[in-house]
Amino acid sequence: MPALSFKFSESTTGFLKITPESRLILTLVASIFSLFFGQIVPLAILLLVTAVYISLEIRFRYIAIVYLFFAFIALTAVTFVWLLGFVFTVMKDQPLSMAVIPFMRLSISINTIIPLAFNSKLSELISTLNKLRLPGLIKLPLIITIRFIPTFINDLKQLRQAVRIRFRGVSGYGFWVLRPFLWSRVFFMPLVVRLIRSTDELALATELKGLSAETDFGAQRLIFGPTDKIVLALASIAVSVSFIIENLHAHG
Amino acid sequence: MLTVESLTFTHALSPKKALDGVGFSLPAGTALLVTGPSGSGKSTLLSILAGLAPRFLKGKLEGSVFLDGKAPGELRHWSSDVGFMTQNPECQFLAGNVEDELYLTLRCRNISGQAAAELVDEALKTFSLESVRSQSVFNLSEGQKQRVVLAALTSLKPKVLLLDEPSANLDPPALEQLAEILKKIEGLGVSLIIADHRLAWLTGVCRKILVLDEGRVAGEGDWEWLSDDQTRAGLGLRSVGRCSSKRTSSNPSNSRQNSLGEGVAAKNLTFSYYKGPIIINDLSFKLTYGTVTVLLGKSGLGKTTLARLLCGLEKPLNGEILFDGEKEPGPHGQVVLQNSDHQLYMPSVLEEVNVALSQGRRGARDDQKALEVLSAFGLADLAKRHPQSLSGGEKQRLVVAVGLARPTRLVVLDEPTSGLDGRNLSLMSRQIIKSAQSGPAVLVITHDLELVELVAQDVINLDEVLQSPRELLT
Repeated sequence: MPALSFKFSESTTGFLKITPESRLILTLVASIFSLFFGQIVPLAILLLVTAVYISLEIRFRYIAIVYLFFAFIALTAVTFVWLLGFVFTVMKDQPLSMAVIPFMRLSISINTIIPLAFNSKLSELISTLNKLRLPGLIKLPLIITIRFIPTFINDLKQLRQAVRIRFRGVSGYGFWVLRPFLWSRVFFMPLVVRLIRSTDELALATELKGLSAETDFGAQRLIFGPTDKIVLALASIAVSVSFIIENLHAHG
Repeated sequence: MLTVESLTFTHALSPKKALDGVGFSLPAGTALLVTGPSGSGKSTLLSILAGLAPRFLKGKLEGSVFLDGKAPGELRHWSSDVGFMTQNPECQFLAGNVEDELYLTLRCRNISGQAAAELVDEALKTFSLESVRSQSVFNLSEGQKQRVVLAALTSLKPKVLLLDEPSANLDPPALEQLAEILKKIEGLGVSLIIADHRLAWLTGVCRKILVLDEGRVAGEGDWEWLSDDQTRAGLGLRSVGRCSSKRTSSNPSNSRQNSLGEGVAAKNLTFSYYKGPIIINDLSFKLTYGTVTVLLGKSGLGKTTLARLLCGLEKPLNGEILFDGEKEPGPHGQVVLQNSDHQLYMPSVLEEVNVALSQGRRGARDDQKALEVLSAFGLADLAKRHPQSLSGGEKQRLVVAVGLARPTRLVVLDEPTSGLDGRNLSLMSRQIIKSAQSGPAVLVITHDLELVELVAQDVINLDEVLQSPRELLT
C-alpha cells in the first residue's frame, strides 16, 4: 500500500498546484546554483524567476512579512560592515557586488523555501525526502527548518498584536520613531525569547513524535504531472541561461 | 504498572528542589489526579515521567521511574508508551494542519499509510474535529488545539497517558466529553495521570488523588478526603462541586435603558478571516461601565475573535464598535490574550507594570503605584525578577495585572484563570471585580465556571446569541 494513499482533503495548495517533489527540487536546485554563481547577472535572473514563483504560490502579505524581516537583517549586516570599515580599512575598498551577492543568494533560497514551507504537508515532505533518497543528516534539519518558518511568522504576528495592545497611545507607525529603544525592547526581547522557545519546542515535538533521521515513510517512484513538468522545464531553462552567462563572464 | 520511587528534581540554576522524594505506584487502567497549588511541582513531575528530564528539562534528577519494570531509555521510544500532553499544546505540533498532524504522529510510529488514514478519520470523529480537519493548527482555538493533541496521543494507544492541565481551555460540554473519553481509555487498561486545578470534572474519572505542595507529597486519598472544605482550603485547592454550566444571557435590561449611550456597544458585527467562512454574523450586544460581563460559548465559536474585534485588532466586515455611542479609531481598550510569553517585554516585573502605567510615556514612572498593583496580585516579592523567568501561573497573573493597571474604558480578559489554583482564583476574581468598580467595562471570556460564579454580573452566552443575534439590543 503506498504511503500516501491517504487522500488529504486538500492535497496541495498554491496557484501552481505542483507536487511537493517539484517544490523540493526547485528549492535544492535554486539554492545549489545560487551558491555556484558568483556574478550579479545570473543571480539576478534566478532572483527574478524565483520572485515570480513565490508571488504565484504565496499570499503577498506573507512575502512582505518575510522580506521585511530579511531587509532588517540585511540592513543591520550592512551597517556593521560599514562601521567595521572604519577599523579595517580594507573592508571599505570592497566593491558593492561583494555586499550584494550574499543577499541575492539568500533571497533566491527564501523565494523557493517559503512556498515549500507553506504549501506542503509535513508528512508529504518527509515522504518526498525519502523518494529523493536524501540522507537522514540532511533530511531532519531540513524538516525542522521548513517547519520553523510558519512558527516564526506566527510569533511575529502575535508580537505585533501584543505591542499594538500594550502601546495603544503611542503605537502605530510613529512608535518606533518616537521611542526607538522602547520599541526595539518590546519587539525584540519577546521575539528572542520566543525564537529560543520555538526551537526548543520543535525539538521536543520531534522527539515526542518519535521523528528521527531514520524515520522512513517508504520511498515510492517520483510522479510528475503536466504542471510540474512545465514548471521544472522553465526552471531548467532559467538555470541554463544563468549558467551560460556566468561562464561567459568568467571567460570574458 | 508505573512505579515512581523517591523522585527528587532540582531545576538548573535553582537552589530549591522542585520535587522532593515523590513516590507512588499506579496499576494499569487506573487514573490518578495530581493536584496542588501553582508551583507545587505538578508539571515537573509529569515532564519527568514523560522522559523529558534531564535532556530537555535541565537539572539534577534523583530517584527512579519504571514502567512494567523498565526504566526510560531514549525519549523517542519511551514516548510511544507514555503519551504526554503539555500545558501548551501548540508546542507539540509539528505539522501545519490538523489531519497532517494526526497522520504524521501515526506514521512516525511506523503505522502503515492506510491504517493511519483510518485512525485519523476515527480520531477526528471521536474528538469532534472533522470541521477543522484541513485547518492550520495556528488558527485553531486553544480548546481545539488541546483536542488535536489528545486525538493524536490516544490514537497511538499508549500504556500511560500524562495530561497537564487538560481542562485549561475546554468548554464545559467538551470537558464532559473528555471525561467520558478518559473513562473509556482507562477501561482499555491505560494508566492516566492528570495534573489539574479544576477538580469537579474529574470526580468520575480519577479514583486516586495525590496532592503536591512545594514539591512534596502533601497528601494522598480519594474524593471523600477532598470533600472537606477546610482540607481543600488549607491545600489551596479549588471546589470539587460542579457549577451550573447553563447560563443564559442576562444583559438585555441594561441595553434597553440606553441602547447606544454610555458603555461599549457592538452593533451588527459581522466578521470572517481573509475570505474564510463567516465567524461572527450580525452580532449586537452592550457592555456597561463598572460591570463584569462574562462571555460564554463553545470552543471555536469566535470568542477570542470577538475580543480582538472589540479592541480594534481586527476590522469587522460589517457593523461597528461604539464607545459612548461614538466610533474610536485605532486599537482601543485593553485585551489580555492567552499566550503570556508575547506580552512580557521588560527587564523586571516592576518595570513591566511601570511601563503599563505610564503607557510608554517618558518620565512617567511610579514605583509606588506599580508595587501596589503587584501586591494586589500577590507578585510584590517578585518585583525584581525577569518576567520571562516566572512560572506559567505567575506570568498569567502579571499580564492580567498589567492589563487592569492601565486606565481604559474597556478591559477584555481571555481565559484569565486557566491554570490557576483555588487561592489564585479567589485573588484574581477579587481584582477583576475591583477593576470593574473603578470604571471600565470588563469582559471576561472564560470556560471556568468557578470564575463565572465568582465574578459574573452580566452574561453573554454566545451559543444563544449567535442564534438570535439582534436579541440583546432590541
